[in-house]
Amino acid sequence: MITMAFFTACDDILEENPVVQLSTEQFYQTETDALAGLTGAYAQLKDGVGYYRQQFLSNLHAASDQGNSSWKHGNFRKGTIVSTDQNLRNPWNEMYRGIRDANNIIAQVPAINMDETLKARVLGEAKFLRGLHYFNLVRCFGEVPLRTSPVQPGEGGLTVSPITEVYQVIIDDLMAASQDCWGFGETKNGFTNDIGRATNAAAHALLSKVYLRIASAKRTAQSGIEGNAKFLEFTETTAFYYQKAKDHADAAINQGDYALVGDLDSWVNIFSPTNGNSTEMLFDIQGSSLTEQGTAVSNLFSPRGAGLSGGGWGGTNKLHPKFINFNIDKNDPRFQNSIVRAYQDASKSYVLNNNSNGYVRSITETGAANGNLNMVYTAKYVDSNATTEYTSEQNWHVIRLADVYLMRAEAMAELSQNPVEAVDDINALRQRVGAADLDLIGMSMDDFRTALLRERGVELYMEGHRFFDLTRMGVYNEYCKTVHGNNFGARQAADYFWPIPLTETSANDNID
Amino acid sequence: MKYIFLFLLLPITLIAQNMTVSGTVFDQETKQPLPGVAVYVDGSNVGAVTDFDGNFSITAEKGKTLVFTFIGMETVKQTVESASMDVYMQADMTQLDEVTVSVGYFDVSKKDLSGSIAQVTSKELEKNRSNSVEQLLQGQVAGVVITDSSEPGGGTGISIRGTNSILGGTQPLYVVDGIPIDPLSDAEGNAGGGQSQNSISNINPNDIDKIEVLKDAAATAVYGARGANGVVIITTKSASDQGGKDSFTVNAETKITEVANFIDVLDGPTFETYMNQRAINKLFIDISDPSLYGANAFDGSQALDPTVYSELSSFSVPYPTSTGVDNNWQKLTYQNAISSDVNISYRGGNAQNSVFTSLGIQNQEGVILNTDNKRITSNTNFRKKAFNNKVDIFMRTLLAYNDGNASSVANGQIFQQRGVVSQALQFQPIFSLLEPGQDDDIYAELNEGNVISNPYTLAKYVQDHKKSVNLNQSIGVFIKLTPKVTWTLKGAYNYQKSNRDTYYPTNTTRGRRNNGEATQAYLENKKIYGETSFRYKNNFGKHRIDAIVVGTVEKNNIRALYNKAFGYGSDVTSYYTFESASDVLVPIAQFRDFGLLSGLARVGYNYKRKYYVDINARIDASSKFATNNKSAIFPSVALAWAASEEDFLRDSDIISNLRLRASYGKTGSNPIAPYQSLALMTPIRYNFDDNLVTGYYESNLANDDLTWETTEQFNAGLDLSVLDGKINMTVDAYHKKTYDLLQNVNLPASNGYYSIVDNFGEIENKGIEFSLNAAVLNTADFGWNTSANIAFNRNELVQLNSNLDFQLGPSVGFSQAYPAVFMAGKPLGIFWGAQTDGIYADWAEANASGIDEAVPGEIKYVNNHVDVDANGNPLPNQQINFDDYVQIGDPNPDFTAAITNNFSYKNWNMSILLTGQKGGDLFWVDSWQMNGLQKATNVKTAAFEDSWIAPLSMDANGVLAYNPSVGSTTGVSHPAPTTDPGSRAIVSDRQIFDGSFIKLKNINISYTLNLKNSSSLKLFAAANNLFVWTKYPGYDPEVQSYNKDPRRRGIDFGSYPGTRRFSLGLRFNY
Repeated sequence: MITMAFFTACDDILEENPVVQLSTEQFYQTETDALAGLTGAYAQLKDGVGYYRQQFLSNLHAASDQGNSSWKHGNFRKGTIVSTDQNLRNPWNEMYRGIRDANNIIAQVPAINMDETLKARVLGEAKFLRGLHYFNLVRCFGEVPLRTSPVQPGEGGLTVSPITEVYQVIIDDLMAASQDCWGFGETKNGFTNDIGRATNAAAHALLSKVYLRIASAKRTAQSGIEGNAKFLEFTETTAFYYQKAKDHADAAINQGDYALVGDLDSWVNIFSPTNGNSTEMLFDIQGSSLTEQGTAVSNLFSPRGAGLSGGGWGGTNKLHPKFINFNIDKNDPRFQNSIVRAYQDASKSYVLNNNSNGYVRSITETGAANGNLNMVYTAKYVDSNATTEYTSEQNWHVIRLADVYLMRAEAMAELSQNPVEAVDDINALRQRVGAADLDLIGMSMDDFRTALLRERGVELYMEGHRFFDLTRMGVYNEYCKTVHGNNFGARQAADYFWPIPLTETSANDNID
Repeated sequence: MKYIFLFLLLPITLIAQNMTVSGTVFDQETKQPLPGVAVYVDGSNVGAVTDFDGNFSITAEKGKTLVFTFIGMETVKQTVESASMDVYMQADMTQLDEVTVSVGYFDVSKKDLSGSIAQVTSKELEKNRSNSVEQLLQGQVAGVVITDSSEPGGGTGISIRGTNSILGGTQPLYVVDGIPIDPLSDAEGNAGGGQSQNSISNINPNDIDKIEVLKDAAATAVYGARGANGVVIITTKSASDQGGKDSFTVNAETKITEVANFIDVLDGPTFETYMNQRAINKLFIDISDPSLYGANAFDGSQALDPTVYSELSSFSVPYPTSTGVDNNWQKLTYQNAISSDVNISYRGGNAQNSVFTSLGIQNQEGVILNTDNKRITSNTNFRKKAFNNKVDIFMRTLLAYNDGNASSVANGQIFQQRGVVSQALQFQPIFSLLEPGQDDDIYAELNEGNVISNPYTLAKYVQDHKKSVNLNQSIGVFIKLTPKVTWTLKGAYNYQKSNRDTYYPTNTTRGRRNNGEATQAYLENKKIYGETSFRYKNNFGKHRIDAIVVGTVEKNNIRALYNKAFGYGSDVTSYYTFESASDVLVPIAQFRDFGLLSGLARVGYNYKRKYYVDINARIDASSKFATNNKSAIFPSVALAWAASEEDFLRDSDIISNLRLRASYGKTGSNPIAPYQSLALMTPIRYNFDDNLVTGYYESNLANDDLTWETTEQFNAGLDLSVLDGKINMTVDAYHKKTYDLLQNVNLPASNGYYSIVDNFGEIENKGIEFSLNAAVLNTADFGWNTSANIAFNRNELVQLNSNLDFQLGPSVGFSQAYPAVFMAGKPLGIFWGAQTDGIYADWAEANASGIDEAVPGEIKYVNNHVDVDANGNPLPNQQINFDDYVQIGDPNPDFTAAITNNFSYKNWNMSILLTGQKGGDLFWVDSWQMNGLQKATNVKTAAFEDSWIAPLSMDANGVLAYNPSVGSTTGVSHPAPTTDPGSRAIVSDRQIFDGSFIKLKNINISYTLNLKNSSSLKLFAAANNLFVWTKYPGYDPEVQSYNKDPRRRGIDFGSYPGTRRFSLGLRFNY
């Protein structure tokens, strides 16, 4: 009796009321909630160490022919990645966390009573983000689980979907985003599109990239590249996809919010830490000097202890001399003006050698020679104001306008099977930095593709595109061998995609 | 004749003198009548029992003696003088002290015990000199495994009857003086949630009177919800038995602790040889590679021509001349630690009023430089009998203060390779200590890309201060409503506050990375506990009943704050200010409330003290579970048969006690954080073009089914005493089944969540325990007593609550590998990895394997799973991946055992404790480096000496020559030191070692000097861990890297080195 009375009196002891956190049921009621949910979805882009904040960037670098990343990326360099690799789990997890957040918004926001134009934009941005996550997943892992609605408690994992289905979701999402996202800084109904949000032009640019990947991978698959065999499942002709790539590149360029800069100095300046969101950048992961809003980009790519990045162990991602010598034109002003030409750390000085493929090192105090460093650092991510590893203002450029020009150039040449079609776009990029025009007259398509890869390499090196370019063009094996040798550079068809991490397969009974 | 007369007279006398005596028996203390008291005429079989009002009536002869006996009371003998008499009985203090055992909420006579409960008294505890309460239990109780910790103030692992909970850890429930106490939380972690540090580090071992360990379900079910891991009941000293006498004790002790063994790593010159060998091996492997040089591949017959072999043109070794530096970092980082302990206590009073108070001060140094812990404890209790002795009031205050520096030992850190111990092993002997103004960046070149710090710098300069204050205030009121009914009210308040402040200065790697890194963490835990109970005790002739109903309520309130800052201009302000930091991160605040409501009813019945039945039912309701799953019922039943009380054994000369026991019961566990069943949104920030905005994301998936973890246990036991109790033996066999195991279940990350707290599966533990105690010799001067115990436990993960075959344990090590898996049908937490089969001798052997990374000098992994292409044909390049893995080890020991021998001669006493374990594999994470020879860091001497060496020699001028006599490519145990090694950091059987050991755990010698006024002075000397017999190559097979975490059992990752301790002390008693 007494015990019973005791229980009744103390009933509230058993109720849970987490004061520091909102329950999901209380959320998604108002316009503010819709925007806050969307902010949460953006924040996932760089919240963990696995995605655009750190690991994913080094993975993409190390998997390409550009050079080495940290010792932890040995398997990426050697093409021997297995499902237990420590660099797979976090990127995988964080991409799907981003998808989870986008799915929640796409499912919950339509019922909210709010400004309809703004609502459309919120949904468009969420779809842009989901499209981007799935595009990254399908490019890195191939067939992946395709979840497009919020997960229910107790629900198991999904099996993998064919890449055609994954690409269909990406295309549908980006199409919606290209219609519903707003222009750069555009104002509608009293709401302003914050700079840094996905824009309609960015969605078009990404769509162009999606179509170009399908087109070129299918083309190389047809010519026998086994690593791209899955792209044979796409039913339309390659010309269809090249045309789509061109159309969306046109849409992105013609939209008018973005423009190529005029000269070399301005081009160098687009990589300045304080010049994030310049007119060449279609979509950037936002770095800032605000508390906890910095990125590790500067630290990953700039030499350590030289005042060019935050403190600590930096400079893990560097260019291999063989990439510089063989896979790009190292005399191109874009390369010459975007690398670190000289730096000093605590006791030594480093000066770029005459071949632009390494540094001559000396003891600062005495000037005595101290051997050579066979690697080159990029200056694209230098940030002298960064104080620590994660406090760089440097943005990560997901897609920029020069890429769209090069994509259009490629699509037009492939459509007509005539390299000359690409001349205008390629040379537009060259002219703005004072480089001589490229002569494409009389060139075979094979030579054109090689030349195009060199152009893409010199313009976009270390911006996260190289691994994807090498795979879709079917030259992954060849280029990696040039840099890493026949042993470590060798790539098989299986290396075109990374294995799904063991943490997923072991917890998902629908994937082996 | 005379005798005949007497003989004749006797019956007449009897008849003549017989009369009816009647009267009442009272309790001396309460003056209440006592029912159920047995009365008999001495030397006859005439007897009676007092009725409900304490009255009796018996026929007796005048002048004869009446004997009154009642359990727990002193026997009263009274001569018959008149027809009426009143008798007062007193509680039998001595008898109580000897035979009662706390079973939780109340005591019973040891004779009436039906469950499996082991008792350790202060007499035995004192022989085991140690720093913590858990260590006191070492080797004392069968089935209780203690994992020693050498870290000052560090936690001690304890497990009772194997592991049956994963999230709950193996920690039992601790009940101190009747109040369940919570683990002391360590303020740390980026969630600011705190981590249990040392459950009862706030209790001074010197204050303990006795400890009971409740093992079977009949015993632990009393604590229902939290009894699944066993219950440890601690009774602190009090003073009610002093009889008005004052007693004063001083205990002082000094200890010296040293690292028990150093691991043999390369010295400076040999390390340089190793570094040069890496280059030479790499060169040979490359130039002998047929895929690079085809027919020209170097086999010793060709000239070493740089125009043929391009590698030769740029070849050099890193140390053509020696640096001349040779530092042994273990010696520089470890120290002989001196600790001291002073305890003062007073006790006095009588049965009516008593007081006990004690003060303990402990100053403990760790064997790692700059680590220490100071502890101050005080324990005061009062007992007062009031209102005619009907009310017993008890009050206790426990205060504990801890203050220590953990240095960068990095317990609880993800990146333990940055911890001092791992670094002391791996750091290069050719580096010197830092000069003032230098930071460990000067080590960078050799360690390109490796996370490494100078261990001396880490130990000396990293600050990791942990402070805690713990107040435990409890009050109890025991009211004798009638002689048969006692009403108890108890209340307790526990206040814990802990701080953890860290600073990584800029001369350390981590400090450099963030330009000085500071954290301040703070955690406050308040708990209110209330308990009320009614106990009814009665005898009806040969029937005895002892019943109790209890209700308890607990409410916890935790708040925590975690702050972190980067970017200090200078190290001088350490963690004290955040103002001088350039980046102060967003603080993380936590507020958590949780409660537990419980009701308990228990009936103990016995007939003639021969046949026992105990029935117990408890209901617990916890706030932590889903709305409809908050409460659960935990019943138990126990039967016992005192066979030695039966006629056929009662007169046995050999068997003095034989008791058979059987019990079955359910217990539960709710060791999870609150709010796990709810879907929650968590704030997160992002910026749009430098404008900060706050958003929310869903961080927790709802779990409407989250419910109690339940353990069912069956126990059968036997207690046997022979030869007048000189030899005592106990055997218990048990079978435990735990289902709805609570666990961080891995989810498919593609669902957006990669882990959730859920009910996970079913575990089975079964085992058998023996303990034996024998008084071998007992003469006036000499005594020899020996006790031994051995326990066998087998566990199996019977099934998972999903369709999955297995779950991965947490990742460990610098390569974030997953050595532990949880697989249905296998023991818990087995090690899973690649099998190995020696080292590839040459390219021919390597290429024949078909494995992608096979290279001479690399580890031969067994390709158990042939990778095939889409058509089912084997791929030309086989890879060693998870599909090839098999079970490579099992961390569960076959058995654990302990033997104590105690010798006494006059005033001398010596006790020797040996503990041991058979089986129990260990996964030594540091062996990846120490035996893997894969980096430019230091390695084990034995590994380098038995490694793959290329048949190339180099003379003083740096000229290379083919020289088969220096080469060693076949029959070697370790891979080639080389500058670009293959996959050596995957989980394989090369990291698995047998954890069997025997330890001379404790030797204690004491001499007692009896002074006048019944005071005494005892001098003692003790040694701990004097010898260890083991094949384990790491520091100590009693690994405690993750001693609180059953998901990572047997994983040794930079664990504190094993230590040896000598102590000298005195104890003065007045």
